[in-house]
Amino acid sequence: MNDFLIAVVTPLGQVDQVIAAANTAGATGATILHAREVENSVEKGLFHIKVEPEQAIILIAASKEVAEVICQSIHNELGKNPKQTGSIYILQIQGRENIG
Amino acid sequence: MINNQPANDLFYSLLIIIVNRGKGGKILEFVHKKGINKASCFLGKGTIKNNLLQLMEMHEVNKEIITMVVPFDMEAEILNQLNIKFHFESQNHGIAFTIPIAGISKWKKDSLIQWDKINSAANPQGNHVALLLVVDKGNAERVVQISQQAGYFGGTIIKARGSASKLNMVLDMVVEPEKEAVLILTENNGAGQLASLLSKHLQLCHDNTGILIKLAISNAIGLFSNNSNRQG
Repeated sequence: MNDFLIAVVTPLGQVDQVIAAANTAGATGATILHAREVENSVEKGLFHIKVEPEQAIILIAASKEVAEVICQSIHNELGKNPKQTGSIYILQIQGRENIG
Repeated sequence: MINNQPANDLFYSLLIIIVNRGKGGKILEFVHKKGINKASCFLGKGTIKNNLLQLMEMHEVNKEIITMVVPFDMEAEILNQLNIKFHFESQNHGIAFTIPIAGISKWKKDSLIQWDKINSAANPQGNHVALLLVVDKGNAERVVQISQQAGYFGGTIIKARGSASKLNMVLDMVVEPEKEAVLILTENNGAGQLASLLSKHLQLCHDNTGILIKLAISNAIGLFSNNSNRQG
């Protein structure tokens, strides 16, 4: 199998940009999971309230060639700004049903 | 464009932990002490296979799903420590498993995908596989029901939203369809049967019905065999 599941972990505000970049690169669709980040969780303020930033995990299924183009496109769109952070993890798919 | 050499000769795995809601914070604190600084946590719904509880509509359990990236050579040790601390070997204490990562890319550091040649080529095979289904909202419970009726494990339902490339424009508003992702863990030898069973029931061969993905699991704790009442 030469199919991969791309998991893009990004702050919630950048979801639309990531999806637009992925669609431009040839992605046929995406699934967005709403998550919370733990790395940057800090206790802030008078009452030491723990702040956990909102995060999204975007799942895109694609072939290896398309996955490379998608990652490059996302990086071109969002990697220029040093304030924008995120990671892309690629998992190998063993079998599939109905991936457009 | 592609760097075939893994970064610093390190290989990574995606560690996924599914526990009852409220326990996630303790696990995050524990893994933070072990040196894993970055983790994501999201909420889900689990199901209990019990006819009496189903009659009383009490068969659903709130779950927390924690994902983190761990070095490949450390995954067995981390799983072992989690097992000692949170007793995953006992039933109903949660599940933890790892999926090998084939490639990785950080926006700040590099634009290239660091393909993991060892993991993607050799692909260590465990006894279990993970089936990830993305279906329209409302169908997830049916997926779990089909799986349980056929004698397989239940599943974890996660709320999601879809984003098709051809967007529906209604009154200049972008419509994002509500979706549900279902994560089912099953044994390697029964996964194909379950996949075809779900594909048949949900008619996944047609467009816009859902997708089903099978992912290899390298290590898993907290899973108990129930193949005695399995149907084909």
